[in-house]
Amino acid sequence: MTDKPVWCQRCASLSALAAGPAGLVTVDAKGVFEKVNDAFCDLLGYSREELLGRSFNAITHPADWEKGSALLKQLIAGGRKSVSIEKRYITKTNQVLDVVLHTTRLVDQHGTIQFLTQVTDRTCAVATARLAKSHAASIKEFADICAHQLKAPQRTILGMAESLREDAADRLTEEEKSYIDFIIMKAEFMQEIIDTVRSLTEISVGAETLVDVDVGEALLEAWSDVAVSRRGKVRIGTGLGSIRGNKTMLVQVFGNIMDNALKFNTTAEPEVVVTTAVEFPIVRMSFTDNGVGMPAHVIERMFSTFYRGNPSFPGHGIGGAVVKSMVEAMSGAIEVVSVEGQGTCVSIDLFMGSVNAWKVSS
Amino acid sequence: MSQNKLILLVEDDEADAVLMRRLIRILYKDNPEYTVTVERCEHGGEALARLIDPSGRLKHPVPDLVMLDLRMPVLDGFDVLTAMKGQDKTRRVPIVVLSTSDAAGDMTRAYDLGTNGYLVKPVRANTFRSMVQAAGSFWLETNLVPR
Repeated sequence: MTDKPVWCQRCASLSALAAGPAGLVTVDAKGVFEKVNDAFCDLLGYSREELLGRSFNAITHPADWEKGSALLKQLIAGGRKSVSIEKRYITKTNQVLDVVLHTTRLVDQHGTIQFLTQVTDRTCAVATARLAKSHAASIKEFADICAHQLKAPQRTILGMAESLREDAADRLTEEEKSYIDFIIMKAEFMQEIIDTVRSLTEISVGAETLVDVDVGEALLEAWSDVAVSRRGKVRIGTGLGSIRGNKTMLVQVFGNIMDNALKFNTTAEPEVVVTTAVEFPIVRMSFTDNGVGMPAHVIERMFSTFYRGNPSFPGHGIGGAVVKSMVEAMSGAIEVVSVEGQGTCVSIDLFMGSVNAWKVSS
Repeated sequence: MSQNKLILLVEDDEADAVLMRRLIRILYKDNPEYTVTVERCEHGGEALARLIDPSGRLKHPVPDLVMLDLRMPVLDGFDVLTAMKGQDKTRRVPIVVLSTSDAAGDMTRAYDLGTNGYLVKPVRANTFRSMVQAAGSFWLETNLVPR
């Protein structure tokens, strides 16, 4: 596996997740904080230095020290992969904070066991979750209704256009036939948009529904779809492990990234190379291609819905938005570096799975 | 001598009805064994008035096949199935649902009410043609119904 090209080494270090809005900590088997992010510090009012090296019991309401201990013992012993517990924390200013802790058992590449905990203010979490669920359900229902209602006129347009082309073939000029071909092409395009908009509205995954996903399997499944319609090669390293995610989403994310890598490519041998970097508990997967690349103003907008950065290639501008939404639904982050005429590197950061076989690959 | 076959198309969408008639015409225009006529009703109420007389018996000519949309004004496809399949005098007429809905709930309900088949209207014309050709081949040319 070759090294990443020089222009791609500008990718930032694995800090995107730590900078996210969710409170995240890692603790060892004795409950001592090993890593804490800014959001967690802000939630409690402590600095990173004040927290690192201390036990989580130091900030837990004494009455809750034993709360969830049975579940935690099962987690430590490996009988469970993750647990959710509600507790009370005491902030630096002695305020009592109701929190929801979602802890996952992870094993790093050296076999060391660590625990990754997402900490959420319970009041916000409950209200936000309820609102988000209701909102997501409404949007999905609306999208389903629109998709269903659009199918009938779309079918009519396609059916009538094809019937006209067939029945009147000997009476139409070539120019008139081309008008009908445009109608058919756009009607088929409508179907792609309907399907993709429906995908977007189905993105509503909570932390409790994320599972271990074998990355190698997901990559191969995604590639098998891409290879049917795209010219080019993919190179995937060994030493792949699992991530915490949703397999269907992950396959779609990988597929979309690889498809774009080969689509926006005018070389004789289009290629996308998949590399990984590990900074426990986060895995960064980078997809580097030798395609046409993008200017900075396109990169800034590439995740906007319906934005098309390069109209000379076919597409409807929803793929980027779908990929970003799905990665974030899996508590991940995405970053893009690109140079016009050289290629693009799309990096996604995700949490390791509890079954970890990651080996760093170049 | 060719046999006459009758399809009763219960469909509220004018365009879908036009496309269906066209397909049947194309598929059977050169068929030496069968001539196929398509009658259309625009909703379930019209269909039941066409199919059943005031005494509850089938009106003649009895269709060889009813192709039934589900979502229609006045009375929908489920109402037609309930009326037709709920009585001894009318339940033997083959009814195949031809709907845009692929919802499991609609399918289950249609089968629970006694539909003989369930087809989902495809988007592409060539797929629709293959479907209608297969349906015609089975229900009009192969399947037998007591008279």
